Amino acid sequence: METQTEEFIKLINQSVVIAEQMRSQSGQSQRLNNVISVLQSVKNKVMIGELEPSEGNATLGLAREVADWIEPLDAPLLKAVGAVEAYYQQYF
Amino acid sequence: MKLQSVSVSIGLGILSNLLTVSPSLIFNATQVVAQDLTATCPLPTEIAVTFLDSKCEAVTLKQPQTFYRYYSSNDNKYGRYLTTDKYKTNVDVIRNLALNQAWGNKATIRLKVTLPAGTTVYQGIVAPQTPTSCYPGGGQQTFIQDSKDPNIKWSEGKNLTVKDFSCP
Repeated sequence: METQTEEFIKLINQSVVIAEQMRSQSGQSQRLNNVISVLQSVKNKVMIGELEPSEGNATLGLAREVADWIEPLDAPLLKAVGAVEAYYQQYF
Repeated sequence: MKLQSVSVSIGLGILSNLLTVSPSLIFNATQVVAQDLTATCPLPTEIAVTFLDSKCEAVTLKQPQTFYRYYSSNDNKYGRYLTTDKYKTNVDVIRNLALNQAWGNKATIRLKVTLPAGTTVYQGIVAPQTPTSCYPGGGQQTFIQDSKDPNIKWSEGKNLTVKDFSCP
């Protein structure tokens, strides 16, 4: 597997771990389930080479979704999915 | 450098006078000048990325201003993303505001959201989301940091024309 893909999956996995931790502590379980589901979907697509290229400006929608509702705004989950988005835009 | 700085100062001075004379122009005029002066977004990168090319402008409202938010259930009625765009159908909303249906917002209701004077809003264009054929973005996007400000007025929603939306 390419290093870029490995690094990307690592960032996705980190986001999943944070979202799973939050799920047991917050009242946003449905939204967190959606985040985890989309993260898993992105991971599956990149592993089979079917992730649409960002061409430098498309996003995965993860940051848009999480930034809409998360409290506080500097929560680790938003930072984590932001890192996924940044890596996607830079390398895919 | 000094000459540039003086020119900017003079420009801002003229703008300031214009705003005093024409209060109705305040919001739009500020937007135009902000776009000329800053090319990046003064938000954390994880939020800036939601704007096209990570570009947005910060504008502090001089008077209350009404925006729109599109939603379909209490789960997505409130939030930090608003728009100045008024759409007639859910499909236009979903495409232009890049509301990926995986998140559950079917955009069937339009809400008026009035922000109080003094609120700082971050404005730009919606970035495309994958799959970009379904969610090209391109609509106006307004972001607020505190959607729980008790001075924000969230009006009753109005139903949109609902059409079938499918994404391969």
